[in-house]
Amino acid sequence: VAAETKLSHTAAMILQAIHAGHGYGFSVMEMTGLPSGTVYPAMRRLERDELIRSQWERPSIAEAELRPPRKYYKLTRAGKATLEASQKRYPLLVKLIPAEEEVEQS
Amino acid sequence: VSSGLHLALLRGASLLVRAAEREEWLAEWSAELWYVPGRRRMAFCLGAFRDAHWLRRHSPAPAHLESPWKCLAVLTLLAALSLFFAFRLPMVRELWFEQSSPAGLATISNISVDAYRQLPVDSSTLAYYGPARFDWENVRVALASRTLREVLKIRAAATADPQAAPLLLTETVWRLYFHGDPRIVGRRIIVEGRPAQVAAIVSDRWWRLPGRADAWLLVDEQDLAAESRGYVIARVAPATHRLGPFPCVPLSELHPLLNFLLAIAVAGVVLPTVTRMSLGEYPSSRHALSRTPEIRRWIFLAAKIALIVPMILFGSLDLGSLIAVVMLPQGLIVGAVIGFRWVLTDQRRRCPVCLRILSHPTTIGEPSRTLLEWYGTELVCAKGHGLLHVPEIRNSYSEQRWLHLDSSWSSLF
Repeated sequence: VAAETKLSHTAAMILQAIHAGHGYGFSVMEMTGLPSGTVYPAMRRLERDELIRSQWERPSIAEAELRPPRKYYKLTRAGKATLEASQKRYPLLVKLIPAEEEVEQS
Repeated sequence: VSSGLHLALLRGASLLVRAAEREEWLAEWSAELWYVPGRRRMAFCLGAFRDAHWLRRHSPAPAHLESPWKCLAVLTLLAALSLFFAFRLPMVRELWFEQSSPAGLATISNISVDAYRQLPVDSSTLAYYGPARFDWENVRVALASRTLREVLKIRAAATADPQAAPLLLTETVWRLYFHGDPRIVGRRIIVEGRPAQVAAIVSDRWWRLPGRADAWLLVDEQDLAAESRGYVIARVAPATHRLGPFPCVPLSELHPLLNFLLAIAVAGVVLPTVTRMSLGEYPSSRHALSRTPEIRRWIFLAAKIALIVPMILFGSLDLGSLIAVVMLPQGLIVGAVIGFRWVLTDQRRRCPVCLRILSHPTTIGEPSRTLLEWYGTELVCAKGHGLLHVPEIRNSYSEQRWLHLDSSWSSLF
């Protein structure tokens, strides 16, 4: 997928949320305020376009925290390039969904 | 209970996902559900249906439906199975073959004895009977309320012993187990440890109602277990469709063929609202199909319709008889709409030349320029006959179109 792929605002928000450290579906929902029926199909589309990739966390981590294992999503190289282009296109995106480290610092 | 309901919803939605992806899809949604607060869980689970539908739409077609011959073979098998079950299930046989149903009678299926007792109808016009509950000397016996005699107008002998429950026997049972004894009526016997007195012998073809048995034991209402479920039969005025809070079906309206014809008519009206009626004529194609593939497409369509019709009819009958016979008309309509919608959508996604399902869907264009430029999905025929463009948003200037590839492209396939 070319780096100059243009995303809709919703897809860009989801990509930004994943980049900001909200790595699993419900966390993305919480951050973006979008319903599950929008977030999950959009993530599948992003994964199909190879902008993100998914991986199940190790069961031992989830068991230690007494919760079910999460399926984490991460940006691919193409996803990062697309997000950079989207951030230029939607300048408020970074302010709307800051990275988790930035939130902790402020 | 709430969590069970949500998991059941997710499991239901997972049926839309292809089997190969289902387990992982369900695992992800079930894991995510754990984090969702209670009040938001229902909305969360409903979103799962949208996700499952998206996955279904964007997954490659199953291999067994890809080839037109395999598709017809699968449809033939399913049609044969639905037909087989239709002739194995006694009630379906009765519904199908009994042309004349008792007039003035209506039935409610799957109702509890407790609910039957509370029906706000004159009890003399109402009777309850259960499915055959136990075998007595290999005879299937059903318990029924004593009012069954009045409601069905059975000429039965009065029981001399008030403690003995009247017993109705079919002719076959009378001949087989009582050797056609002409003095059987009035004889006192023990059925499942309870005193009974034979009240009448009825013809084998007399019973035309849902639920099959060889003998009916007419007991007092208090002897019927409150939680057991069965059928209610009632004498009603013509065109009555409700008894208290329960929908009922007049038996004269239950003939499947009439209901099926009605369902076809309703489906014809509803179908344009759920799918496009186009069969994939692609006006922008400059390469008109030759006569042979054109005829082959129509024959394939006709064969699918011919196979889907018995599936709808007998499949709805099978399900109706197993779940609730009163839902038969609605089941036929839903089945007809779903069935014919599938026939049309399947026809549209096939290559017009070789009739194989098109593959390799690729998103073309940009979502943000939907209205100004081409944005949609492109599918290709694996044998190189052409490309199908399917717009994301269909409108008058952006329609599904077929791009014929001539022999100069063959080296690519």
